[in-house]
Amino acid sequence: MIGLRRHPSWRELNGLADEELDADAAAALTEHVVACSKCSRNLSFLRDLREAGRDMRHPSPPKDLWTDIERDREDGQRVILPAAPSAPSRKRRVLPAAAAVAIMAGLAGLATLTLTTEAGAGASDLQFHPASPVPGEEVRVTYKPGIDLSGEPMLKLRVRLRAPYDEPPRDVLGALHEVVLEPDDEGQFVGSLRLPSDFAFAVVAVENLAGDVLDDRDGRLWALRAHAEDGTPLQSALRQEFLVLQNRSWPEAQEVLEEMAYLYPDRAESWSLQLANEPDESGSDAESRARFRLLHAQAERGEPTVGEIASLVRYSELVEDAEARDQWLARLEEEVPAHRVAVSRRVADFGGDRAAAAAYLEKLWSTDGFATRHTCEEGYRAALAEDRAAEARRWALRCLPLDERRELTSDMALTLVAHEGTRAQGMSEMRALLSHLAEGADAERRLHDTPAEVREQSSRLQASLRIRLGAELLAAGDPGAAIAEFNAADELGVWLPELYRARLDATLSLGDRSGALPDFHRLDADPVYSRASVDSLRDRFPSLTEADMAEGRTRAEREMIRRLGAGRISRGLPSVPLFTSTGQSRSLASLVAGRPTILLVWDQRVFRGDGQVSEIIRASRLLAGGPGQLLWITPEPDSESLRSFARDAGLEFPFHDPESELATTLGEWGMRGYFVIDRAGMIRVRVYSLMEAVRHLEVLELELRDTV
Amino acid sequence: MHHQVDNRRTSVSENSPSPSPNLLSRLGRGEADALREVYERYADDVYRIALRLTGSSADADDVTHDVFLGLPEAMQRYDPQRPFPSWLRGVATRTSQMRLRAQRRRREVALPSFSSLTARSRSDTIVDRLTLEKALDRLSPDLRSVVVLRELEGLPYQEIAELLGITKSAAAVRLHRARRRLRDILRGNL
Repeated sequence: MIGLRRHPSWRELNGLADEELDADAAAALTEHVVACSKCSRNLSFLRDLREAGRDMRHPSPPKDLWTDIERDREDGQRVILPAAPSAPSRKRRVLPAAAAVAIMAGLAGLATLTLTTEAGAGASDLQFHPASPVPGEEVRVTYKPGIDLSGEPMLKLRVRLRAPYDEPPRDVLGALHEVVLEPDDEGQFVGSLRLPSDFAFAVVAVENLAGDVLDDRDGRLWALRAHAEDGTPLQSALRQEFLVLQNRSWPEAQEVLEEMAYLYPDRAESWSLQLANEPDESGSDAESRARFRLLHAQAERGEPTVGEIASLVRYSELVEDAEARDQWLARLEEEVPAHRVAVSRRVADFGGDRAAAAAYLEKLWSTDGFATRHTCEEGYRAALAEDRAAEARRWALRCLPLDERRELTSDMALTLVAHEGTRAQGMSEMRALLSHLAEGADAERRLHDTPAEVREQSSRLQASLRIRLGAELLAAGDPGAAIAEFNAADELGVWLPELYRARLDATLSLGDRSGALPDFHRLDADPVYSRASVDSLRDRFPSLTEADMAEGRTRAEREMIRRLGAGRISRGLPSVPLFTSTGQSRSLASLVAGRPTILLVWDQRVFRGDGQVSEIIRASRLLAGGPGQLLWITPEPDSESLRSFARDAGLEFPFHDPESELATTLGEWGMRGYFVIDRAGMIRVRVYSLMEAVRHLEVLELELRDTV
Repeated sequence: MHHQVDNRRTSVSENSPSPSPNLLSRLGRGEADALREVYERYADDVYRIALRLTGSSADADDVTHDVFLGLPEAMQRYDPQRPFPSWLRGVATRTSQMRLRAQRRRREVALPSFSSLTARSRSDTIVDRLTLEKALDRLSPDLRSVVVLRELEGLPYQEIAELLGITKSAAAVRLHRARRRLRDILRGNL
């Protein structure tokens, strides 16, 4: 290796400063550094830093410290020291609450002390051997169970294997692989797993053979990356890990991107992902543009892969280099004309020219090899956006036979239901989808979920699909068929005001007022359903007396309490310290303080993009004037951006959970759940919709009122 | 409290062989003379790590106090296969980190002015002890820990990774982030 022609990366400079490079690499770098003032300055800085570190004072503790320690031990004082991480783990280690240093003062005179359970006791541990496997390698798994799974004869390791270019987890969960773990003589469970040759990244959970006891590492799961022979994580592993983390834990997703940029500084993907995910951390605009020009020039000289070309398209857009963008987009189309990045860009470029966009997609679809799911999904979306129903049906008919159940499958089936000519086919697709959901295929169960949780989610999803199907049938002029779908949804046992409203409209359209009345009472009883809507519906039942109203509401309330109470839990509040913006410590119990509470344990970034802010404002209005409160806990430190977000959302400034201890204890790591806490300070429900949380809170109050 | 100060560079791993199994066994039983012997051998190392991680002699006093006060009970978690000095360094590191996090929560309200620090560092040349100490104060606990363990304690990446419960590559990335941030602080960009 003779002298570098490019600037060395920070990784290489760090290696040189740390004296960790081999002689050839060090010589080549040194030759460059000597001739380059910028690199010379950077290397000097790293060396100065080390020298300054070596120069730091090395004081000893105060002379009387031992006397204090000796006296305090004699007085019976003890400290529980923080537990060691059980094994090197990639994730940020969050110390459990019980591991906090707790000075147990006031225990003078006790000869022996019973300390609280050792921090981390009862926690499980999972290890992979080798810890840095290459694709295709056999990996031995050792699992030390926590309390929940310790008595099981055998266990099951559930692994979601992701390939280098798998789509985000919302679309592709990853191939499921299961391994039976058998006990060894040391109280551990062992098994082995052969990684596929296209392995990039995996997430892992452990459960018992019946699947009703699950260890998902407090929601975080265990992770396994693919590595190169030299032990470096593959870029594809980091890409997949980022995709898995990005909607769950922004800071950890960002850390993965930083690792990618550190390990692969000469790849456009490393920087384009970072720039898209967190522009502030990617340096100034000028730096980003300079870096792009460097990578652009490097790629022009070399032979970039298709993935790298697609990244150059994204990167050029982010630094607003239109000329380079056109160049790389054309190159991408040359290589893979139906590449999803190329198709989505071309469709967007046509802008208002609908005919040109449609012609482009048609041409692509009719070319051998380019009739992909992505092409027809683009066609379907574009047609829907332009309200072109016939074209949307044509694309739906093309997409559905591709036999990949994806996010748009139900939308496409309903598009077909809406038109008489394609209704039969749409109904058939919907039936197949509903039947598939009812089966609850284990291969589609997420690692976090037990089969019971999947059944609950499946019931909700089936009900929601049947309501949409019924609405399409009603709009198509078939109220009888619509009511049959609504009734089938109702039999799933979920409390759903949108179902009651849809069925009420269908029943009234048949002129059946008495048939519609129970649904009116249900809407009237629901604490979240709009009062204005209930009032406007009241006119549709002119013969209804106030006494009838009250009786019907009471009956509906009982039904609501029964349905909503079915999945309730009862769990005490974790004793995790939370902090105000001025650093004062508060317990969760003191914040709840006898008030029914909805708890949000979120990073502000989790709010964005889903209209959740407006939902929070609506929930706050619903709770206003009553005893209920919304309590927001965040791991995010105080900042102006957090303050302005809280102001915009109409939220009280949050309490700080700096190490995400509360989220971890609740198993809430990065998920968008809401916890409903009753007046007695017990967690009763965890739901994924804020309005649902408000409903549960109000129903708990109703129950309390009835009890009183 | 009077602090003894000298400039000897000592490191637990370099100069302190593991204590005998007998001493560790007595320590685990809470025998006072065993704790005193361990204190005499390792208090400087624990104190130094605590001081470097927390940046405050008062905090370093408290951390050292807590580590030795809780050491006999913590021995229940000690794995005899592992060198005792390295394990003790881990205990000191984690206890300091917890202290530092609590401190930062309070400090986040009003950060001290660093105008003198940045003015001095604009010359873009030497990083001296004083400026480094001040700049370290501005790093997050995670970044500060990795700088202290690598640049000040001279530990290899693998041991840093084990102490902090992260992978070796994550330790390298964190050190890179910390160095980059220190460079920006010292050049007055932050």
